[in-house]
Amino acid sequence: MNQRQQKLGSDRRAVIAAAVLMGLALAVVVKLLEFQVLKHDYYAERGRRQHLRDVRLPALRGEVLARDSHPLAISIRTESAVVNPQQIRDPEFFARVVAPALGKKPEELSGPLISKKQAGGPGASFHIVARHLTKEQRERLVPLQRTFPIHILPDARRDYPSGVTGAHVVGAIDAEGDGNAGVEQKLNEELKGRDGLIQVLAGSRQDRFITWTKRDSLPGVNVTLAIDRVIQHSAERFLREGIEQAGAESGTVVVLDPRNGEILALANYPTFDPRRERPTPAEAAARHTNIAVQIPCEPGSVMKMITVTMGIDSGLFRPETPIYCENGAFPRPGRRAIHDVHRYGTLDVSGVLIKSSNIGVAKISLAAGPQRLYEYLKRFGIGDRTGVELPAESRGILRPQACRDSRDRNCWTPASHEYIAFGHEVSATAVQLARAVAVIANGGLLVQPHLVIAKSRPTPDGREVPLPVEIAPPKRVLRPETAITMRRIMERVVLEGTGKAAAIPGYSAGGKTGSAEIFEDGRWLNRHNSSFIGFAPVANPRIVVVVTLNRTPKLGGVSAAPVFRKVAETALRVLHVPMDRPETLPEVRAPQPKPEKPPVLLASAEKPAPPQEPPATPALVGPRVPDFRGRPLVAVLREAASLGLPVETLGRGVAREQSPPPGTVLAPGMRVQVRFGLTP
Amino acid sequence: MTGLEALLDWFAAGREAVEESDRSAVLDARLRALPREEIFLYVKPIDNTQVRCVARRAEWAPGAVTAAVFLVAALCIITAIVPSTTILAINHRIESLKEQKAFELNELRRLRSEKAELSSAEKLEQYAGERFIAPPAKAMVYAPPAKSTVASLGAR
Repeated sequence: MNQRQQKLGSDRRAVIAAAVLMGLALAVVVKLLEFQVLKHDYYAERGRRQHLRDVRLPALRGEVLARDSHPLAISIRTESAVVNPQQIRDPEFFARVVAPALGKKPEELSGPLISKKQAGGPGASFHIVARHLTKEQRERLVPLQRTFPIHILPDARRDYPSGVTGAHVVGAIDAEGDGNAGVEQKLNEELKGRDGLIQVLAGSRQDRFITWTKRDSLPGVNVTLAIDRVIQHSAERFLREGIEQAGAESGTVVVLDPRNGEILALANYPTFDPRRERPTPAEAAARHTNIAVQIPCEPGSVMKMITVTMGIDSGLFRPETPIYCENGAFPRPGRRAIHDVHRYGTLDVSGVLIKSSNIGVAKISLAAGPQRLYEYLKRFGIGDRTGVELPAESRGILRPQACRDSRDRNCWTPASHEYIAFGHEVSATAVQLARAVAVIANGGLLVQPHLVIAKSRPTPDGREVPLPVEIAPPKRVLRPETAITMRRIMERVVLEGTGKAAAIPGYSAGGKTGSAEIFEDGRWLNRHNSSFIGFAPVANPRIVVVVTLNRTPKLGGVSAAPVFRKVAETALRVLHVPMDRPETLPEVRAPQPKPEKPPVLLASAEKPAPPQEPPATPALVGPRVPDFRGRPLVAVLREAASLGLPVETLGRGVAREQSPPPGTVLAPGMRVQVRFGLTP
Repeated sequence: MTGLEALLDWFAAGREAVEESDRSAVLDARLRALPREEIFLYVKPIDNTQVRCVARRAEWAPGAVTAAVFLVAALCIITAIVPSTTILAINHRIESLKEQKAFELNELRRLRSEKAELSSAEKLEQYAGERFIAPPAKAMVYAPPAKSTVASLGAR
């Protein structure tokens, strides 16, 4: 009995043990089922992530080059030391040992490390100990890697060798390596290339076993700009001087090649230093404010250039067509009167631009009508973006001419075209103005202002593959003869009118001054946006220069024109443009022939002729013709060349007759005719 | 040993002695030194039907085979190892050259940057200002009299 009971008990225990074992086995099977079937993908992914890691291999950022291939921005591969603060047991000890190797103070290292170690979280497992290690620093750090978990990672440093020069054009990059101003920002995707990937097979302790390249890095595109370093530097210097002398707050200078739209210089003030990784608040503000393309302002009288061009190109006016300028005040019923700075009686169309008469251009606009003025403004690119390769370009302000309905306030009023004619109710950036002047300078073509003239991508074998640069072709918007006529008139603005301070020794120049008084908080500030737009030389312009000084108490002819002269003179010399005028400006003022009695025109036709001021005698600027008579051909040519006189020779032998006679001041565009004879 | 012949005889004697000792080691009833006594010849019939002729290999054969085996093995090993080793060495060389090229290109970029910085307009202006544009001494500056100035002897 006892034996039987014992046997039964033994069997029961065996059954229980077997059941327990079966249960355990079942649990294992269930868990295995969960691991292998139900959550297979999840655990497989976790395992893969634990052992396979992707390490980013940063691509080298492309270079930004000046037109002479000198680097304006260039990347250099460096190395940086990083640590995981959570892996450092004693940050203070770490700092005491590592800081001397990096030439730092221990507290500089320990402070951030302790704070990150205590804070925890995802962002607290990465700390840059030192960026861009020098060779000596690296040599001192490598032995310390045996003691501390210091990782030396590849990095890149962005150098700006020209410093402040061209800062607003080139721009800068942020700590992440992305552009945050200038071309660096606008062409960021092209410049930064594509990062490579290295895949690492690591153990459970993250020891690297095998490393292989998953994807090669693609280096960034090298970009060549049209910027000339010398012109750019001069523009920045002269702009700064001009702003200091004029008491302005800010300003900009744009130098453009009117033949193809290449921007040779673009300077802003205030500016910034792109090399500074931690800029001051003022510099940070300047970094993100590119006045030349982002801040439109009322152009003022420079807009008269477009109005007068419209008048001549449309055939309504000729340069000599007289316009009665109302002796300084042009009252109209129901509207505010338009005033001139000086009182003018009758001026011809050229005189309207030369003397910068608001009333004169308002009458031209009245005669042409708002539709035509709007059309010509659009032809000159006002109100449209230029497409220059700089970020956040403004389109300026040009409201639609036609209203959608009676409640539409964002359109022209019945008087708008009278004010827009002399640069009010409209805004344009300096680059837009440069494009508009280029239309006159290049004979009537609207070009696309652009900075990039070439792109290329470096290949692994050291070559460079050129990439296409897309630039819109020039578009004809003006008849060539109108452009040439306007050039002559604008040359007289510099010689006789408001832009005398813009005259360049040795070169002919044309331009227009502008001064728009600032209206702010319901009152006039007695501060101006003073500007000067111009080109040189007149016969075949090589440069267009736009100078804008903001919030200056001085007018454009006094403050901006001298800056134009300095910048243009430097640019013409740098570009090796031959002189077409004597270097010394003559002081002789020849009397101008008295104009015939002009017919009365336009709104004042029925009015009696008001008392007119005596016509001003414009300065006839040019070299005095020497006496060539009795001299041989070679001597005549040599002296003419030294004086910059265009000479036309007839016959051979010795000079017998000349026209004009000796002592005459040669007007621009005229030439000396010399007849030679063999017999006395 | 007085000469070469004697030396050869000495070698031959040695060989004979060796062969003699080999023969003596073999238990053979046929060959033994005959004592000076009467000789009784016993004739034993020999059955030659079971005798087989075994060809004797040349003495050099085993050595040659061994050498050939070693040679073939060596050739196989060399054939297997040398190309991969060469490729490995070349790859290492290529990688080191690539690394050197990358380093040199980086150095070139650094030097270009330095050169551009030294030849920048700002720096050149600075050098020119420091070295060539020295402000004139006050004594050297001549201020022309104003147009309104009239020479007068009254003050003297």
